[in-house]
Amino acid sequence: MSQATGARFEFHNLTKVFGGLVAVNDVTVEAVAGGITGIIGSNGAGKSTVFNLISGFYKPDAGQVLLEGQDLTGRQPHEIAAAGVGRTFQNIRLFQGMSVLDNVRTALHRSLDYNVFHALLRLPKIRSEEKRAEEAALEALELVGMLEAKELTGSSLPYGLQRRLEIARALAMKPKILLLDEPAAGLNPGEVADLVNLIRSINAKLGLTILVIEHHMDLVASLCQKVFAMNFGQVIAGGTLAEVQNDPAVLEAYLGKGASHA
Amino acid sequence: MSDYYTGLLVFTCVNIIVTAGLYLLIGGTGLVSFGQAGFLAIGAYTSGLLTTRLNWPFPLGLTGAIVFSMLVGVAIGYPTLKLRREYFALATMGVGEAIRALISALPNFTGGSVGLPGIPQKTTAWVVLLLTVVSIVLVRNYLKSKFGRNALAIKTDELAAKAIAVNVFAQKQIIFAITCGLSGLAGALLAHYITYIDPSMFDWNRSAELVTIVFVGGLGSLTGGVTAAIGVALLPEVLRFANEARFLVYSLVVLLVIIYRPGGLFGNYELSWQSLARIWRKLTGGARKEGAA
Repeated sequence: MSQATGARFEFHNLTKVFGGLVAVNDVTVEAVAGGITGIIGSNGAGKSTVFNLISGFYKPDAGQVLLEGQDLTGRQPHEIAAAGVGRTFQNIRLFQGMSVLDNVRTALHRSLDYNVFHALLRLPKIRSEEKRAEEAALEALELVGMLEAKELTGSSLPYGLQRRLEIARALAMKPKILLLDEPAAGLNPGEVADLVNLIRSINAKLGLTILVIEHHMDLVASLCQKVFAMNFGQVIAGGTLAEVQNDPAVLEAYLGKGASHA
Repeated sequence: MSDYYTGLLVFTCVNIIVTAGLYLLIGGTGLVSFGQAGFLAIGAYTSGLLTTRLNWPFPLGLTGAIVFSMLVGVAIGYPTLKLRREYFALATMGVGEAIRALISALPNFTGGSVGLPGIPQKTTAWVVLLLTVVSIVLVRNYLKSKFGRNALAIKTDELAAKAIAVNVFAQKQIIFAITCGLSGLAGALLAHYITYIDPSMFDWNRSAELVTIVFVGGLGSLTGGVTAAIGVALLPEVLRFANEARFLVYSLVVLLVIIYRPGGLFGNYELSWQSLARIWRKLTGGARKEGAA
């Protein structure tokens, strides 16, 4: 089922130059529609830059980003998010001081059908719309198993739960694709195992196309149907994890010259 | 009500109305405007000129003041709201002073530095009280809606706000327009009470005082801002006997708050009817116990 419903997402020949440094060089990735695609590579390989290009935080110097054939290249971050690209951040970015519920509820603003004048006058419409928002927020929290924590302050939670909350917030927007930027960063092994189960269940339940950047090979191995390896801003291999792991270019990048002959 | 108390009420309420708007901007988005006195001036002069030169009735003068202040707010906000917070503060400070200079530089139109006399006195205690309550309720309503959540999201993490499709610039535009509209309303109410205005009333000290009120009240508390606005308006009167020293005392109070309660007097605490009732019960309950003993 998931294969049929997931959104097609791809980007072609993405390039970004900072000063004289080519951070991302001619990168082309086609995500598995309705599946989980991984981008791996060492620190500084350009993975996070790729995400920032896709989600509009950086403007690409060249290339094209396509969601279901719709060209998102060079649009503003909020427009890209509105078009259906949800994301999380490597260093979790929750809204400080907001409750767990409000963190998620904030992400529902586009689906709430009232304008500034309704809000200023607090017309009866607001009550019913806000009620709907709360239900939708609770639904998203249930999806990540955080219903009991709804009243707590988001930023006071343990790291693993903050990560879940960030995912719930992104899911509340009902995105067509979800970008996870090193979701296992800073988590302990138990939390990583929980996270793997969570991502898998979201993928299965929603048929959502997911793109994940990760160092953590266990996570990549247990989740990703397709993997792209990056080095010095370029994609050096793509395919199943086994194919990528045995690719001479990858072995050379990770283990040094001569490794592929061993 | 004697003239003295009416005057005190009007000045206090004018402070509250500007504070409510400025609180929305500072508490909502984290941006600080050091130019609100300029928008008070715009409101005061708009309504003053409309009612004296064109003989518009008072309600239309007020409406004109609000609308024109909002329009100027949008025009000023367009190039400045994308700036970083510190640059926005500097830019608005410049805007405030520029508005004042512009009013001085157009003597044929505004009366220049001599001022604009003969504004009809229309601001009564009831009018100002009603509009103050309305202003507070509007700001509270805004903050309690999805727009309030968007604002708080922008204040705490602009990047994350963008990632959930919040149009940060548009939200800031809306808020700044409301802030400027309320400042314009306050300015017009002031003009229609004192009947004479001149540019020196709206200098940058006034802007700084208004920002101080919000910081003293607490960046997370509208009722804190309102309380501070009342305090700042009344304190010089209470200290009138102390003459010169009252500014010293005033400065000392501000300093002590900033040092010992950097989050403001109220921090994130909001007064509500329930909490007021609780305080009232405590006070009266305490009195009764004393009476029994």
